[in-house]
Amino acid sequence: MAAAAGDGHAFARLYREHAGRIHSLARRMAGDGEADELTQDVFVRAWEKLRTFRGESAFGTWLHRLAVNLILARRQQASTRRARDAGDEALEWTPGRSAHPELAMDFETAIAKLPDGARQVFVLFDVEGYRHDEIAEMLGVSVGTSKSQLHRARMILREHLG
Amino acid sequence: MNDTVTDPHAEWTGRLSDYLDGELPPGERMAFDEHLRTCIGCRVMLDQLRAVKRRASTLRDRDPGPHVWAGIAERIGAPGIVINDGPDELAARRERRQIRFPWMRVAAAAAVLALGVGIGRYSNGVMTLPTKHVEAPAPGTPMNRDAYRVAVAQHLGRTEALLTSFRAEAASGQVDAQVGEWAGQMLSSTRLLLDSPAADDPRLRTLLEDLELVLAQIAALPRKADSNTTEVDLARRAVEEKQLLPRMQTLVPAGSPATTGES
Repeated sequence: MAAAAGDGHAFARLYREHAGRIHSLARRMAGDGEADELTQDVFVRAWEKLRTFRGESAFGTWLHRLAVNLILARRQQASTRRARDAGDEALEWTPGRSAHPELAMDFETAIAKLPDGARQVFVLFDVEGYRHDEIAEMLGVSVGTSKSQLHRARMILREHLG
Repeated sequence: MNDTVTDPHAEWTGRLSDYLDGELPPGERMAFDEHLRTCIGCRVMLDQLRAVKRRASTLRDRDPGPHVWAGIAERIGAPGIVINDGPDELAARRERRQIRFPWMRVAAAAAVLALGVGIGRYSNGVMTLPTKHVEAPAPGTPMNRDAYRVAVAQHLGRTEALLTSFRAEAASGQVDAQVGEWAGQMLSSTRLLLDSPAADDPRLRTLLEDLELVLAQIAALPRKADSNTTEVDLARRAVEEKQLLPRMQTLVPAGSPATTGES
């Protein structure tokens, strides 16, 4: 892969192919306000780690997993900081309102307003297609917790379908 | 007041998502099927959760603004590399981007090929799905009646997902071009089912004919359907006035294996 050898143009082509999916993942997982920065961080990390990509999976799969791990790690750090600064209520923090309200769709907005845990599981399971055992591993929770958070998210979101 | 003590459905409502995702053990699934036959509340809730699941699988990705790449290029030491997508390139890339869930890739053949997963049969006008396995008919032979009913059940399940997505997008003011393409594919399989010699149930025929008209309306929407709200509104009203979703749900009750969206 030319990008792994430091070819910026090749890497730009990879970015063009995958930026939409990564940015949308970041937006849904962390909110509009953080999506741009997270997308940049994911691609910079990918650039740094490209040499370790051995082609055992599709590049998109590798990149997506890298993005999920990075986004979750950032979310965890942010939660810990907020809990330390503002008490336990901050654990239920949800992403800020859309920075681009004209682009927001009702269902996407509803997803953004879900509680953190429910939103992460919902996005990973129903939007991204991960299994409960994979999600449980990524989030460091039990499979049962993953299932109950998914159900919680769907129960909230059903009110937002016309 | 503790609802969980008095609510006879409490045992099941918490497991609706498990049921929908095929996560229940066979014994519990059968018990849940039994419960659904008599509990309209759970059926309604299950339909709502299914609609959420389907809506989630149709969400569209959105490209970030050009400043995102500019920041990356700066950080990786390649500030001179500029990404400048014209509209054609963006459109082509969106076309290449695959929808991640296989049930979305509906083609005319799908309803017919998806045989052997169960049998559908009408009982008092309601389609139920027993557990016996049925082999697909040999090529060139008339379609097995039970297999036809399974194909119908799956087709209606997919069409329900499409109409749910269309209704949600119409309400949001923008109908994605992919919904139109999807409707075009469903249109073909609707005609295929109508033309089958097994299509002899008058209520089903009427439903399929109504679906065909509405799918044709959706398939004919311009690519930028948000700029033509009259046509979108007409299609949306047709879905409501013909009561397509309730009629489909009457023919194929919630929880039928062929309609859970998992295969």
